[in-house]
Amino acid sequence: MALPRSWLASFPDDLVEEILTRLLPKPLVRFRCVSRCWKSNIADPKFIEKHLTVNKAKSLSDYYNNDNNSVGYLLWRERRIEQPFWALDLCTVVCNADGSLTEISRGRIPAYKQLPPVHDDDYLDDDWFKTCAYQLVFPTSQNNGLKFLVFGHRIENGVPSAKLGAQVYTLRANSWSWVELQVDSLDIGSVGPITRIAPSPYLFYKGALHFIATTSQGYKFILCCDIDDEEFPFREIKLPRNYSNGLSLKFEQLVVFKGSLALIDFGQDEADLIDVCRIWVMSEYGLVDSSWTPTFSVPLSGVKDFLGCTGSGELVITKSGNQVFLFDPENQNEKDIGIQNLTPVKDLSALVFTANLIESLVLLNESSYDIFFRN
Amino acid sequence: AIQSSRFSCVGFPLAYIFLACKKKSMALKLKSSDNKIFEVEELVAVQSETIKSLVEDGCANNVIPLPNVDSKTLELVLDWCKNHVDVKLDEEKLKEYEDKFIEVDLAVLYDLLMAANYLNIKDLLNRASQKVADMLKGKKPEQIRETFNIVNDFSPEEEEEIRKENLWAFEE
Repeated sequence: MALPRSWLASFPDDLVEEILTRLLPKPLVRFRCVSRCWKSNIADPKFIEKHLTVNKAKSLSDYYNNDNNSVGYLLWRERRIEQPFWALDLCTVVCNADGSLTEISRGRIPAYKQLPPVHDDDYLDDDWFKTCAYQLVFPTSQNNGLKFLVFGHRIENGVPSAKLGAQVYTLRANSWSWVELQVDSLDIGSVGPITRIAPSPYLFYKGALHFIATTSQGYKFILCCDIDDEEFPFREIKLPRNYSNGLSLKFEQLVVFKGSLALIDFGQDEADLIDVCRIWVMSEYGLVDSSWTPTFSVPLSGVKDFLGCTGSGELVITKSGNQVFLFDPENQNEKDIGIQNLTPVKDLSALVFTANLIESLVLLNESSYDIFFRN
Repeated sequence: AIQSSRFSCVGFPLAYIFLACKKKSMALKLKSSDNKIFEVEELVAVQSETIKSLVEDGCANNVIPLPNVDSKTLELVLDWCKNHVDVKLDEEKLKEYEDKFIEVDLAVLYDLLMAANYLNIKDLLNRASQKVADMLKGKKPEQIRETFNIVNDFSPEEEEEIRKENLWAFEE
């Protein structure tokens, strides 16, 4: 639609801001060259926080209203070996329930920030860190800024220590600092210190990050970390009792299943040797001794990777050749969503699925760039 | 047992009358900028945070003047409020109503935004702002300057610099 000249000329500033918070990052970044005033307003941390709040509310309501009949968003990037892993060339598509795909954006994130090396200034050069797991963290409040959490083994006298440590990078300070990897409810005397964190992806749920951790004595539990808290407190949540009995486990992952935290495992049933997928749902979140309900145990074979769950509880899985399928554990229907037709398989990497996507502006240095993230 | 039954005989009707009085909504009188008087139920009018605080401060006994809203716009705004009194309304019908409501020409949309902002009606402000944002999202910076009547205070070199840094945002 052609907009008349000077149509919004006499708009009060707060109303202009109200409207701008409803735009996606792409037009906002473009509008930085409207004038000096617009450039600084769009990069203002207060504006960015308001933008995040508005879009979060919007994205949630769109998701629950299920207007466009979508099942979720799939992100991928094309393989570019020469780029560091956080410089993303992203494509986002909406997966529709009828199996079709709508491409909503394709954009290159033009700038990336080189993080300083992981170590503490107080320690000597040879006292460094052998990284084993990392996670980009987006606190819900912009005041806390972007963070990067790394688990690893400290090198002591030339050998990595068995005990895990953690470091947090904060964008605001542009430096790493140690955080105490201490869990109060954990009886270190009998189960030993934490020695292993299962590989990514990690689950962000109710303002906290969730990892599957193992101690030196083989005790496995959910390590949970509140990311809005400056102190990064760690908590323990117990896994279902003897959940892997009778199953030769291939892989397991934490997911949000129909709004609840759930554990999903894929493996082979030891009794009749068929591939199965089992889902355990946590009925009440937040307790150490949580109650788990075995919700599904269904045959499902040929799973290469598990990407996530849709809002309505279908599993998004890949099989050989990166074909993406929706699997409904309720009736065990399997549907190919046809992703292989959109991009040649050889270009696929970093495939990520989320039922809920928000685009947000994030400040790197003094300029603003947008990045995409999962919620 | 007798005592308790007597108690409930008296207590029940009293409570009922009290509830009935409380539930009945008072009528408020609003005056538009062109001096038209609108008589509306309090429940409808207090969706405007501005009017709500007047009512709470006891300043709503006489006619409430609204010098920034003309009668044409106020009529529309009050229609919106009437349809949003009971939020438990059929969601689909409400959405249908909102979609139709916001299909207006630019002059009316402008007035609605100004009125929603002045009267502080959150959901109307949301809806109208989103409508304008949807119109702006595909525009070029030059078109934005024209729409808002903004003077470009960048030198051509500076503007070129910002464009170069953010090339992806200018791609179709």
